[in-house]
Order: sequence, then C-alpha cells, then structure tokens
Amino acid sequence: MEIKTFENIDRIYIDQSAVESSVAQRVYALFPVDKIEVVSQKPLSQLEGRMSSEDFNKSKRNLYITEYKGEFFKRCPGAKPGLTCCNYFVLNLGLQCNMNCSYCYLQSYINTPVMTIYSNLEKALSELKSIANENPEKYFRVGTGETVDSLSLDEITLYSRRLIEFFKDLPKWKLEFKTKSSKVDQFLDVPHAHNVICSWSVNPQNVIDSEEHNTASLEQRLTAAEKCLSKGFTIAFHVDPMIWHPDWKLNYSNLVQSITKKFSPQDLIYITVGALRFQPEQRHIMRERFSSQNMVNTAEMFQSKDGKMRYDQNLRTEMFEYIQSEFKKRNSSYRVSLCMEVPETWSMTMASSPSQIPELKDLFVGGR
Amino acid sequence: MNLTPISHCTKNLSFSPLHTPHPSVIGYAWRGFQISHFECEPKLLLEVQGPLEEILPIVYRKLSLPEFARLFDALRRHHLTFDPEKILHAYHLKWSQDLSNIFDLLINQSPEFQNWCSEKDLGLMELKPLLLALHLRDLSNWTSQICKLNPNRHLGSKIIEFVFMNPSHEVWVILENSKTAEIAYQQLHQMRYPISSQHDLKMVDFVKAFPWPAHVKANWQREGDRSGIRLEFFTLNSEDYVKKISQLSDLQHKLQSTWKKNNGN
Repeated sequence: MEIKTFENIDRIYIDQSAVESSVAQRVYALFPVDKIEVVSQKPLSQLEGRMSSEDFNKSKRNLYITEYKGEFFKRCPGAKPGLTCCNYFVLNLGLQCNMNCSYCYLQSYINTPVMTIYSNLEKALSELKSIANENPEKYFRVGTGETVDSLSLDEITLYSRRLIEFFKDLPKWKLEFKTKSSKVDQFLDVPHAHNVICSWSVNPQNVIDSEEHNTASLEQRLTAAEKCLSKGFTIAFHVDPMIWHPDWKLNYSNLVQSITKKFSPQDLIYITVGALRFQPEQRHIMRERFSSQNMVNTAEMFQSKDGKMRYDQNLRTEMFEYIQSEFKKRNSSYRVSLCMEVPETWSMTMASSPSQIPELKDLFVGGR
Repeated sequence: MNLTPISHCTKNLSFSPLHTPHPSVIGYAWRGFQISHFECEPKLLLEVQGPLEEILPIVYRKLSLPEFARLFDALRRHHLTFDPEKILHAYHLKWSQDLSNIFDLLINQSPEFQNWCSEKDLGLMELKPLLLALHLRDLSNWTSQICKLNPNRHLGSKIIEFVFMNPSHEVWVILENSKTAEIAYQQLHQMRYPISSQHDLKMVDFVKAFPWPAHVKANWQREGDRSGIRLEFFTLNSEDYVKKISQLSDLQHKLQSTWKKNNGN
C-alpha cells in the first residue's frame, strides 16, 4: 500500500540555514510542532558511515531539511564507459526515499541516518538558468528521480510546481519526473510548456507486493499517469527493474496489457526496459532488511563486466525481447528501449545501439 | 617502562590470542594485568603505560575479528572501561553496529570456528551473513560443521553466504554429508543457483556430445553473467588455419540448431 507521507515521518530536523525556506515553512504548516526541531548541525551524525540495516530503516522516518552545498546538476550514472544509456542529466533535490523497494540502490549508497530534502531549490534553478544561457543551442533532459523519488515527498515540498513553472520558460528542454507514487494532484493545475515527462517505474502487481513496499499499486500508478495525460503532460513508463520469477512471462504480459489498454503508442513518449541489478555489496543489507527468500534475494545473479550483479545475459536478453514483443504485438508503434544495459545486450536485443534506432534517436542525442 | 615480576600482576587479560609469542620475547603488563604471554608464565613482564588503544598495537601487531571479540569480552569481564572504537581505529578498522553484532555472535561460537575465522582472516563482509542467523538456536552447530570442512577463505565465505541465506534441513544435510569443502560448495551452489546450474550442466553435456573436429577443444564456460562455449585449437600455419576454420564452419548449421534447442532460447 502506498505510504501516507504525513503519517510516516517521526521527526523533522530543519537546519538553521533552511528555516526561512519555502519547504521549511510548509513543514511548519503541515506537521505538529513537537515533531520539528531546528538544528545547527546534521542530526544523528554519530551514526554516519556505520549504519546497520535497522538504522537504514529508521532513516526513512527522519526528515532533514537543509541547503545543498554542492553542484545540483549532475550527469546520469548510466552515461559512462561500458554502459549504453540515454543522454540525461540528474538534478538531485534530496537523498533517501520514504518508499521501500527491496532492490533500491540507495541501500548501497546512502549512509546517512536521515531522509534529506534540499531547501535551496532556487539555487538549483539558477544553475539550470546559467546552463541554459551558456548553451542556447542545446536542449537538455533533466530528471529528478535519481537519489529521491520525484514525487513521493512532493506533497511536502511542492517542488514539482516550481520546476514545471521554471521549465515553461525553457520549452525546448525536458523535465522528467520518475516515480513509483500516485501523488500528482498537487501539480496538475500548473500551466506547462508540454515539456514535462511524467514517468512511472512499473512492475506487475505481484512484484510490487513482494518487492516494492510502500509504493503505489500498479493501478494507482496507471491512474495517476492517466490524470497527467489528461492535463497534457507527456507520459513514459520504465519497466524496470524486471524481476524474474516463475510466472514472469504471464505477469509481465498482463502488465503490458494493463498499460496498452490505457495508453496508445501516441500517448507514450517512450518505454524503457531494464532488469534487476545491484552492487555486489548491497546483497547483505537487502537480505537483512527483507526476506532472504524474496524474489530479489533468491535471484540468480552474476557479476557483470561493469561490476554489478545481473541476471545471466541470455536470460536478460530473453526478458527484454519478451517485453518488446509483448508491446509490439499489440501495436508496433510502441517505442521500447533498454536502460542501464551493457552494449552486448543492446546488440542482442535491439539489433542496434539506441542512437541508431530512429524512434529513439532523439532521446539519446544531447544537443541538436 | 619498567620490568615487573609476574607476581605483581594480580589479573590476567587472557583472550586466547591465536599466535603465542616466542618465550624469549618479553611479555607485557598493563595496570596490574598480564596482557600477553598467557601460555608462557614468564617471570618478568615489561610494564607499559598509556591508553589501551596505544598499548595494544605495540603488543599485537594484528588481531583478527574473533580475537577482538574475545579481547572486548575479557575487558568487560574485568569491568575495564574501554573505547572499542578507538581500539579498532588503532588497527585501521571502523566500528559499526554490524561489527559489534558480529563480535557478540563470534564469542558464542566454538573455539574451532573462531580459530578458523582467524586463520582465514575473515572480515566483516564475509561474516555478515551470520547476522541473518541470529534466530538460530543451534547456530554454533552450523558454524562448527562449516569449520569441520576446513574450507579456504574464498570457499568458506561462499559457504557461509549460501548456508545462512537459507539454513534449511537440506542445507544441513549437505554440510553434514559433504566430504570436502569443494563438494559442499558445489552442492550449495546448485541449490542457490538452481536454474543456471541446471542449464550449465545441460550445456556441458551438450558441448561434450557435440561432434567437434578432432583439433578443437571445446568447453562450456561461465564468465560472470555470461556463459558460452570456449573453443581452442592450435594452428601450424595459415593454410592449416584456413582448413581448421573451414571444418568448424561446416558445423555451423548443426551447431545453430542444436545449441538453440539445448539453450532454450
């Protein structure tokens, strides 16, 4: 069941520097004052770098609002040697997530005992403005769902509204929200330049039940996508991570059926497909935090050339081909591509690299 | 630093360090405790002063995780206040709740298992799967069974991982009935990776049965997330090379159809 944002936060720490921010003001309006504490230093820092799985669980219930000191604008981790990935830039507006997916890469990445929201969105926007001014001929795709779900905490921050407004002045740029939540009502009324992609990671409901805890159901995600579509937002789906299980073909076929029943190829700018993957060291915390007999922990994973644990390449290819064929047999115009995959899988599955596929070319070319 | 007779040491901080120092090397005393040479009963000890985190690295250049577990246990039994973080830091280790839990767990395992962990120098990551087994009342039986197989570090850490992910009756039977660590590992691997193992075994048979030309050595191999056939042949010169490649090419259609059939894709 999807998490109730306001009920599942035990404590909110607001850094002194962030007290005047819009997000802090909103927190004061939304939460009982006894839950809120103004701090001058990062809270619970004694746990930093030495967190147990129990501490990681708790970190999802402690919200910390602070300024981000570094550069907001980062390149997508998929875009590195050895991986074939969409040309995409990442705007991190927080760190940690209030949902709880068993395979979440943040488990190998986060070692802070709090869920952080950066309060200085305006600094991020000013960085983006500078990039736009310096590169007037280029278009950029900017995604916010890398280190925090784009929308699951948006009822608190309302950052979606500000971002949509900001991107209205950059009509050739694209803003992408990537989420597993159904929380979209807070921005549906905001005027936009038809350059906002609302995308959902989707999985069959049995996979959601087993592995994607505290996220919206498949039906809720698809309904949220329909709402966005009705307001002129662009829609995309990420069938990612595909998780093998005994009835995977039937369940993924039903997933494709659910999507294609509601969305025509024209409704969807793209569909990306990826398979389960994680850093080898992540397996320990996944087993400690979730059932060691769940789909992810019992998955037959091998170390890939890029160091990540992945399914056998033949199985991945079979899974990707299957999803692709399920979409294409319903309508050959659906645009399906791979995400975070090694070039061999691209060539085995798609017959060519993404930039050579006409319908995907636009997504993979940074500036035109 | 002074020499002090052992009779002045009223207490003994023995934590059964794995390596017994040579009797000719001087032993150490600290705050009335004998802190080394527990087995040797030396007449005189060198009395050292200062905080424990500075003294210990002088006396013990390296300590394994079970040794730390026993040391901390001994310090607690003697009601000595100490900072485990500082001691671990002196050995370039970082304290964490997980490490602390591993110490608590190790202290309750058999001396044989503790010594095996020390000898193989197992670290936190290798022992972490034990934390999944905290609920097992007979955990020490499981760990004893593992060290009876005396696996090397690599196999041992894999066995620990496979066993404690799912400590079922079937897993216990494998541990109990395996004559060697290698056999135990292979069977546990097949249990952990049933589909890939079955597929790989099938493909090994397929490659063995395939009518390769006499000059070709063919093996089914897994390399990480990829598995396939490794072909090897020796060639004398370019003519020989062309001839042998041509013999292989003649098999292309047969290989294509049978491989597909066996591979299931």
